[in-house]
Amino acid sequence: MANYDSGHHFMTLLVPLRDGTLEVDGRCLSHRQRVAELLALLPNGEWLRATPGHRAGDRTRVFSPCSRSPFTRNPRTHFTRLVVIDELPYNGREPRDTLVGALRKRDPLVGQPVDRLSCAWLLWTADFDAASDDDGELDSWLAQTWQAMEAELTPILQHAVGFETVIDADSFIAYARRCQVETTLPFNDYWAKPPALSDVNLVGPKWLGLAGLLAIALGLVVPVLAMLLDALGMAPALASGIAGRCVLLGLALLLLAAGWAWLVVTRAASRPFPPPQPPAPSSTLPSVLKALHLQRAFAAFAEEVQYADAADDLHQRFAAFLERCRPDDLAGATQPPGDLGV
Amino acid sequence: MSDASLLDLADIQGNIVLPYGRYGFPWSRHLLFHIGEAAAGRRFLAVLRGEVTSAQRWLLDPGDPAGGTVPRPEVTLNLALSFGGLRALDLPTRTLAEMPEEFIDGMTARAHILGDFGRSAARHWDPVWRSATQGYHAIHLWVSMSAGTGRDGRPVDALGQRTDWLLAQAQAADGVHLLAGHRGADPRWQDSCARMQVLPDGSHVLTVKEHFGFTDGISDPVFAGQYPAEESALEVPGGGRLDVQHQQWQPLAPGEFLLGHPCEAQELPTVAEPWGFTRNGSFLAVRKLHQNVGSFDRYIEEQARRYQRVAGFDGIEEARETLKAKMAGRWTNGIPLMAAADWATAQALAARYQDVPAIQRKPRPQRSAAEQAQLRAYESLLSDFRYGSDPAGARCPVTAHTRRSNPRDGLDPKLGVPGHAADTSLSNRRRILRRGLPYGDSTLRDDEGEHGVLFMAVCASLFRQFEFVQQQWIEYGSVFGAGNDTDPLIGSRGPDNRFTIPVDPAGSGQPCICARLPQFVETRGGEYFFLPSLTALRQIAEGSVDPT
Repeated sequence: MANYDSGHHFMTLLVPLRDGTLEVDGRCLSHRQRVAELLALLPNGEWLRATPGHRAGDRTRVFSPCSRSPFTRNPRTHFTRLVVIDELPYNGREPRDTLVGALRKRDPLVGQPVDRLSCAWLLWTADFDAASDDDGELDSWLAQTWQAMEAELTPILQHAVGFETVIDADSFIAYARRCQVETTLPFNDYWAKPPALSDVNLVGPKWLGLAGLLAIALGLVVPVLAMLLDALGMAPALASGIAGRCVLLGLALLLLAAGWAWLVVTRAASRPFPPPQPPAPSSTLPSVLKALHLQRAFAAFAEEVQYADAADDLHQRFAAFLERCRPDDLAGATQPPGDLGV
Repeated sequence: MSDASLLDLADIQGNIVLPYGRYGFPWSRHLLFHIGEAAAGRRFLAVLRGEVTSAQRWLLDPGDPAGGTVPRPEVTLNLALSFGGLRALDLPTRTLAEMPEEFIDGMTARAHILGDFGRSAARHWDPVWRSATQGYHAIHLWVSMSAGTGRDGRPVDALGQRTDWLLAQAQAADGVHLLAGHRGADPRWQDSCARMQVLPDGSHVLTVKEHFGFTDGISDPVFAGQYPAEESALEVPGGGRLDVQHQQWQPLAPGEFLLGHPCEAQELPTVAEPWGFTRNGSFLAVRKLHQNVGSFDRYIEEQARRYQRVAGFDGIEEARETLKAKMAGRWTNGIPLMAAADWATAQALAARYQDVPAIQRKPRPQRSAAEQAQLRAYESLLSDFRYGSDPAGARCPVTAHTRRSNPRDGLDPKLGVPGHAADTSLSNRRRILRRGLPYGDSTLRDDEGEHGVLFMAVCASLFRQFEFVQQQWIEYGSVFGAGNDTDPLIGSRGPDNRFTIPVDPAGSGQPCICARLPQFVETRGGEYFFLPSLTALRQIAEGSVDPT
């Protein structure tokens, strides 16, 4: 349920890597080492080089296309990340209570078992556009990614356990599904407004709890009152044991109230966020890239025309701007995906 | 414990506590030394430490209520050491390893943080600063002397004598070498001095202007124990922090500028062991900033014409002065935009306070009560203001130079919300003491001449204070809602650089977008130094620094 949030799917895959070694160019490497090497060579746009345009005053720049990430070939992908998890850093011994240990005659020099991962893992996360939380959206993205970059994915994933079963898009989808882990905390950057959250209603448990406290109080106070009255010679007729039963009833009510409150809170917490109204508008990747481009182009346009005197002139120039930038056309005049530091 | 006895002033170097330039020492001379051999370095420092000017208050005149105890020196002397210098003096490894990372790096290695690329890159620096960390030219020791000037604009003779004495001592130490390679009148040292104005009779008077024409050195932080009570009362409004509870100005915590004291976050900033070594010391960033005066004048002329059209000013002079004020955050006469919204008001205020320079030149006991009041009012006008009433930047643009370097209450997220009293919490830990002076002569108003500002910043943490302001507030605009726009006066320039002058959103005016600003300021040298306390200086000279 939490994998999907307002128009975007947040995928998390944990892919097990094979144990053992292989030979690459005469070197002996473990599978984990080789995967890390290959990931280091994947371009990610960070070392994008921009050279100034050729004519004087030309403010366009030329980007070398080979440095763009292969993941940009799928226009649904906003952000993706591949990390090799070798092992979890050892955190030290489990703290044990020294008093309890002494009573149990535990020898502190005896080593504790050290917990290890069953193998090295490749963590693959991806945030991409999805029209709904339907399973088919993830499947279609996986298929598109496979079609776009099978050549880059295979050398990496061939080091994964069980990847020999993957021969086409469908088997790739099946494999990825087996590796999928639920994303419980998606970070969605495109909400225009925070969602309308309802308050947790704890009025019922509160009153029940108060009733319980009252019963306990009564049960404790009444015997004292009775003793006083008795001392004054005005002993009322009290059934024996009623104080005790009052206290027990109060405790029971308190426990019920606590249980009720716990149920209310956990049920509310496990409900997913309601989609914001309006849902993250225009937050597909092509829309976002177009918006960034328009922002930049409009800033340049505003700077250019701010000294224009005649309203006609401004009107014409704005028309020319609209024709150049085509704000409604997501395919034309936009920023290409995967460029950093434009 | 009263503020006055909070600090061991005799142990703290004087240039941390006092901006000498404003206290009768407008000429300063900076020399750089290389320590070839640890023993020689210790010999040299042993001699110098008896001459270092501490922060002890000076006796001004008999009966001066300020309570000074030492005679005022004719020439002050202070020194600081780079990381290479501490290493050359054979300090213990643990002490060296625990020094802050940016100090160990040195300024040339921090170019990506400070924006020193292109024409500000180290390969264009003065030769002496260029190879600050390498081999025989490594900069180890910085010595600074400040002196008064005569009516001819030259420093007093004592400065020359002191310089000769200093060089002789370095020679005698047999292993300490003066580093030459400063561009300027004398390659052996860097002189900087308040700019002078030549009167018709040929005599020179000091001005407080830097080379672009702005009044400089107005705003400086004030920390507890820095000034005696009477002076503190003058300087704290605007210089200190704004207390949210009482809406009063108060001095900052000394730990912001002195190591070993609690800082504004009520923590003790991490210092290298032993604690007694770094205590009462501080860190210093020296930066030689060349000013392209010609490009600045030309750009202002050109842009003022366009600005006049957009904003509808009557005369070009008003457009020119307003443009400069919008870029700096203060009018060229020093009056803040928050106090005077237009050129006419700024001129009227300046006229009302035109007797202030004369009052400031008088010794304190000779000032009358009315003159004291006039001075207080003037100080208040210049420093005591906030940005709370101007969240949109219609009066003082949010990206103006002074508003970027010290946003005061301007970063409060609830700024402008009715009923909310904004405070300076988000700026308190980003202040720097400024101790620099202009250098060179810009009479020709060109780019190529040797003129600029020898900028000096003193703070307890270069990373958290100086580098933070430089990287996040000067070289970037995101926190001000201005994307990649850099500081209009001192920032480096990217291809899309802009400076936008906003107007009141509720009004009918038009904003002005200034584009393609030339690079007005270029770095020509610099380094990070550690300003030791006098105790630390003794320990270094004795070779007795012991972190165990």
